[in-house]
Amino acid sequence: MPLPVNGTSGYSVAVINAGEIKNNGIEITLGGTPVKTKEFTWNADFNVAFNRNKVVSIFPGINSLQVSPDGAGGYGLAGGNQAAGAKSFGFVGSPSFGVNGVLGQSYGQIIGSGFTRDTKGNIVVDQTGMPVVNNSVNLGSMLPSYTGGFTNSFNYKGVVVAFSLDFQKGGKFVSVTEQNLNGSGLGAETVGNNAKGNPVRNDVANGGGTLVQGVHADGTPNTTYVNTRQLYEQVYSQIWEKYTFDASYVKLREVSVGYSFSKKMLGRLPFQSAYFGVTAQNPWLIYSKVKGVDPSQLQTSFYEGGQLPNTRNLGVNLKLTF
Amino acid sequence: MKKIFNISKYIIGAGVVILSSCKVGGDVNVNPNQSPNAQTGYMLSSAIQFLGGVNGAGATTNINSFAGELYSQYLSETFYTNESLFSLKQYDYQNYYTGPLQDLKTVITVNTDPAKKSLETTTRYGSNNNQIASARILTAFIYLTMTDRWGDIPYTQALSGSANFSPVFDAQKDIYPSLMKELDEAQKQFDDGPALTGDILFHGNNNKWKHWANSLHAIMALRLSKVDPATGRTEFAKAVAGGLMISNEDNVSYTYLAAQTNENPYFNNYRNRYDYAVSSLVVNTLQGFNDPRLPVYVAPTVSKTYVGLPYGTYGDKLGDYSAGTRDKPGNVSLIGLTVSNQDSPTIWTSYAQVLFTEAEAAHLGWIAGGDGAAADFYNQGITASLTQNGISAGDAATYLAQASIKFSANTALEQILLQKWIAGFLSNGWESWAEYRRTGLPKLLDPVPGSLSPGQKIPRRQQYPQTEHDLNLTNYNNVISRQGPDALDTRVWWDK
Repeated sequence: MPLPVNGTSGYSVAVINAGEIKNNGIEITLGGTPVKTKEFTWNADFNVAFNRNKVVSIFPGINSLQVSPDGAGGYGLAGGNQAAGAKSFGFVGSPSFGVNGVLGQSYGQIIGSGFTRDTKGNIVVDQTGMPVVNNSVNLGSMLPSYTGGFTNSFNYKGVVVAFSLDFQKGGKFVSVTEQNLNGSGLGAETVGNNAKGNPVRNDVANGGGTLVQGVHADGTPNTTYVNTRQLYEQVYSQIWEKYTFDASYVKLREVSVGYSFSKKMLGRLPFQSAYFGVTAQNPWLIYSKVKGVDPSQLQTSFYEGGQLPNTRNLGVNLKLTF
Repeated sequence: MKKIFNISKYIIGAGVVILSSCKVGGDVNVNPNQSPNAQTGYMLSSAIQFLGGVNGAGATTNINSFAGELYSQYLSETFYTNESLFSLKQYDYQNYYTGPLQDLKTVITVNTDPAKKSLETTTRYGSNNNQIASARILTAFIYLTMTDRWGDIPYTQALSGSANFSPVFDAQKDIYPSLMKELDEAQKQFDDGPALTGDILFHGNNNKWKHWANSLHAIMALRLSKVDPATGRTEFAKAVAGGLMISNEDNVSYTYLAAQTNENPYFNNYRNRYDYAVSSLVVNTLQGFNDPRLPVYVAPTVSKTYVGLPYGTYGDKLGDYSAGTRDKPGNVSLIGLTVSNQDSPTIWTSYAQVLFTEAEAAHLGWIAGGDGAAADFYNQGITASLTQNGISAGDAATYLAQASIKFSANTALEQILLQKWIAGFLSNGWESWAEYRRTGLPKLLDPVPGSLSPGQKIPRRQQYPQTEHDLNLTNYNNVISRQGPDALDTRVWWDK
């Protein structure tokens, strides 16, 4: 296992024997046919999975190790968008974030740049009113509390209606999309009025700007408004904590409606059987804590690097048997 | 008993068969397609190439890296203004260690090791002494660049491999004397044995290596002008005695190639990004002196004029400027094609720079001749820079004859450092930035309005990479308590 070491030793990794990790998990699956009459059938499947893990040991003197939760991966794609094999993400020269196995915690700790906070948890700002970056903050675990799915199909006199839901509770991810949107001024939170009632995009000298809710290092509340563009383009863009979100969601993954034509209806047509149906995939993200990004379809298990929105597919299904 | 004896003989026999069969099949840990011996010449080439930048990449470890040129205000950023406004604070030095420094250490080890120094894979790249001496000089140059950027750095305990993954930070006040000693010893170590091959910097010319070592020694000595002038003066004399550069032929010119794998990073940036325009400080300064280097350094705008982009322009104001492209110029000037073509070289240390260093030493009274000698060195420095940029002798004479250029003892430092700064355009930006920190000259825009450094001032150093905090915390905390906070406004030892 390659262990990153301080490059000033002349080497960037040392090959060591792997550490120890302990996993406890439960997966429950319930399935069956709750209702079955001559004309109506309801089939349902439900599953939910819980997993807890803990890093027991890594290597003497080493408390954390970057891991690639999506497998080793053979190659990285250009432009900073690596999927399989991704351990971390960051723009050149800016603070990054990565997934770490931390001794005594679960292996999926996202560690990266965050806000500097005082002992009460307030955001600390410098004398110009800008938040102070802390390059090494535990932004939470990418691992969900539980995940699961729920599949149903109903059949009434040849009409088939089916849908599947899936859901996840907890788990963190970092959204580069949100960082890009706010950093370039396209995000909704970069417009509006400040507490003085003036547009935040106006000059600070003319009553505009944004006031960062925080305190100075000596504990006095921040009262200095800052240029909104600079805040988002150059400061918040370096604070991944701002763009770390809860990945909880409930999603209607697929819906289909169809009808099987009976033999009688087919009459003299040359078919043994016929089925016609309509299917929609990805029709509805019912619940999500984050706006603008679909946490159920992320590029990797801990971040999306500015990915395109997911597509919604609508399909028509015609089955004929001769 | 006899029976047992027989059995054990068979066991031994079986063992022998197994062992010998191993030999026939070969050791799986040995790659038959790789040389078991280090090819020292390749390591020297690789170390040099690293500092120039591979594949045209604008790495922050390049000697002519974007950050160094921005800090010195030669360039302005046209779109992403993070670096010129100092919002990037941590810079990573690990690649210096894992790349060229480790390679150069191997060159020295192999050429010293009695078991390896006479191997054909070693001697084909030059005599042992020549290889060791050049590796020592290049190593010193890299450490000089690093300590000037970060201050205290891992040095004596660095490059120890698994023996020490947590090297302590050496104080800059100890690194400087150590590097000057290295340079002095190394320049004496060259011999008349076989010349270096794999030397893509000087092509095996030992004299050029020696001149470079002594010139670096002089540059380092002058850097002590504020913190320890007595030592600076002594060391400067040693460097001069060793022999400084004597002509533009001695320029440490890193040659880029007309191929994408080794092209000039500024050409690479101008393939489609166009992140940088020439700063208005450069354009206005050159125009003010009718400087013939203007069309060399600077490309014309769409209206065939030369217009700089004010350093640190950001936000909505940036919308008034457009750098355009090489084919369709905008209303501010790009970098001139001569210095940013695919194979345009970059100069790491120039003869002109050394002459200006001597001019300042003469002005300070460190070397003989006083301001009279300073004036001579100053004029020679300007001429060397003009010649290096292809300016004719006639035009050089016209330039020097201007009242605004003529050396005056009252404004000696201002004039010397301004001309040194002009001569260093798009070269070793880290060096120009270091000289600005030492002297406050030339007058740059400082503080930079809208910038994100403490007090909006030009940084006095760069912050350590995150790995020091994560993997070397005890030593990291020690260096902070000695040197000061790991911040952009903490001054390094020589910066008083």
